[in-house]
Amino acid sequence: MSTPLVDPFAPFGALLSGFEGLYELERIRRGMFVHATAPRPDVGVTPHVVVHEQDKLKLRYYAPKRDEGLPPVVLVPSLINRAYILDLESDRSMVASLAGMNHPVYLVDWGEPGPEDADEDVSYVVLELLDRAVRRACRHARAPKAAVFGYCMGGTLVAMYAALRPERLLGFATLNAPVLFAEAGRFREFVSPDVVNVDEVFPAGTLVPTWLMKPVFQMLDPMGSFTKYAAIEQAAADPKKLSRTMARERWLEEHVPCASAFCREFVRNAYQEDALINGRWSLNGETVRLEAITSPALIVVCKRDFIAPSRSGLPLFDRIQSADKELVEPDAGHIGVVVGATGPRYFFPLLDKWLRRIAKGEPQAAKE
Amino acid sequence: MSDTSPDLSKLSGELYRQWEKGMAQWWDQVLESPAFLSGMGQSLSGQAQARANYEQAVDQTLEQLHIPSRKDFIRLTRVATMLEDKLLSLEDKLLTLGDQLAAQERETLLARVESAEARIEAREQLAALQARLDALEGKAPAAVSAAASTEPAEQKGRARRGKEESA
Repeated sequence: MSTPLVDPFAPFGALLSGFEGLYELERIRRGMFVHATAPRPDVGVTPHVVVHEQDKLKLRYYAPKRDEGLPPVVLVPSLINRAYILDLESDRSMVASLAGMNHPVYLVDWGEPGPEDADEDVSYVVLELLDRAVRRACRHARAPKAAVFGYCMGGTLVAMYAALRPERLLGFATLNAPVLFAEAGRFREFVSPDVVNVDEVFPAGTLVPTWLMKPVFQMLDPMGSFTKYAAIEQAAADPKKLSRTMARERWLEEHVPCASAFCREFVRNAYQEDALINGRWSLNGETVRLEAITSPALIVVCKRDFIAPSRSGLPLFDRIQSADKELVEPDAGHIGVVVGATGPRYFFPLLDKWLRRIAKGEPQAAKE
Repeated sequence: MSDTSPDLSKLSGELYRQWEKGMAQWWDQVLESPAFLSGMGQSLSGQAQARANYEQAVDQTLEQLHIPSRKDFIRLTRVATMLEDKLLSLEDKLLTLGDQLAAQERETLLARVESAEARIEAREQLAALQARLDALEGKAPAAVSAAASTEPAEQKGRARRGKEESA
């Protein structure tokens, strides 16, 4: 990766080096310059083939390093993120790590909806797109069932899928997936019924643009969105660190527009009415009952997550009726658990161990 | 300004940290205040409505000029998406049918193999029986001649025993 442009104001910054406070501000300014000029690294580079396409969805297949006959793993990211967030850097990529651990990996890439997709709602996404993607993954892997992993909103959708279509599920895992939206932190306040009229904010036949989403996410941690430039300035000294930081920036910058029908239903039912946890959310006339879930489950919630706080994800563990269920609470943040060092060191091996256990049908280890 | 006194440098650093802390608290207050949230909601609604109105106006203008509008393209693309959905459903059904046929074929094939095996076994058993029969048939003339050759001797023996008994 090439380095950022030379900062023309950098020499003046030296004048401020004697004033600690001013120098901090100068670092932030320099970080902003680096952020604006540093080229973004390539992401999503792990070799794969597309094995299924429907609408804008693509199902990407990452072959296992060695064929151990393990069942397929379907990874489901959030609808408003690019699929490459699970394949951000080659040495910390979730898809590459799992494939390296000999799992046949299938990544659901929701794609970017166009205006013609504006009326696609949650039912279409879960019962049409996700269901077929899972079935096609099973067919491609010549396996009767698949393990499905959902991240953030993808995890919420996977929980709904597990409640309605358990036939193809060997088990499911969720990471930072909110189900109790009353505990969904600041975002819940931003879209509460007093603040947002969903019919007005998400009018029919439109897409929710990314420029509308970005400031909302920045407002979740306004000072963090400002002071992060000091970290970028610090990273600029080391090309490897800068590349990692810029890869993360791609995650934060490159959202995907969302169909207004989906947003309307999701914000109203989830954030405004908490319909999922209360069993009042129906997809195509089928009520989603989390209590109906009996598949083996791994629920992971991060203690330092302020986007989907752990309190919003924990009730999934209590609500499901699976005899085989595990709850893990790592001391990590929403993004760091996948793209940081926590991923390859802790989270991916944890997932690998769980996947192998349910594949063999081994019972859950007794709690100490 | 490396000759700046350390106290002034530290003081500016402390000021910065206080400012950062104060700003964080200010943001928290602002973002939780009903006035801000209400304003944000209204702004979002306004933006969305403005966008929708703009798109509608552009569509109407293009329609009046007899130029295909975004709406027309959306309609066409939706038809294509619906067709794709139908094709995929058909493909699903075909794949399921294929699976069922393959399973049936496998079963039929297995049944045929089993019946062929049974027939082969029966044929083998028949052949074995035939062989035994043939062997028995081959042995039959020899047995008859052997029986014939042993008969006079037996008659002589019987006559001798009769004489001895009468004596």
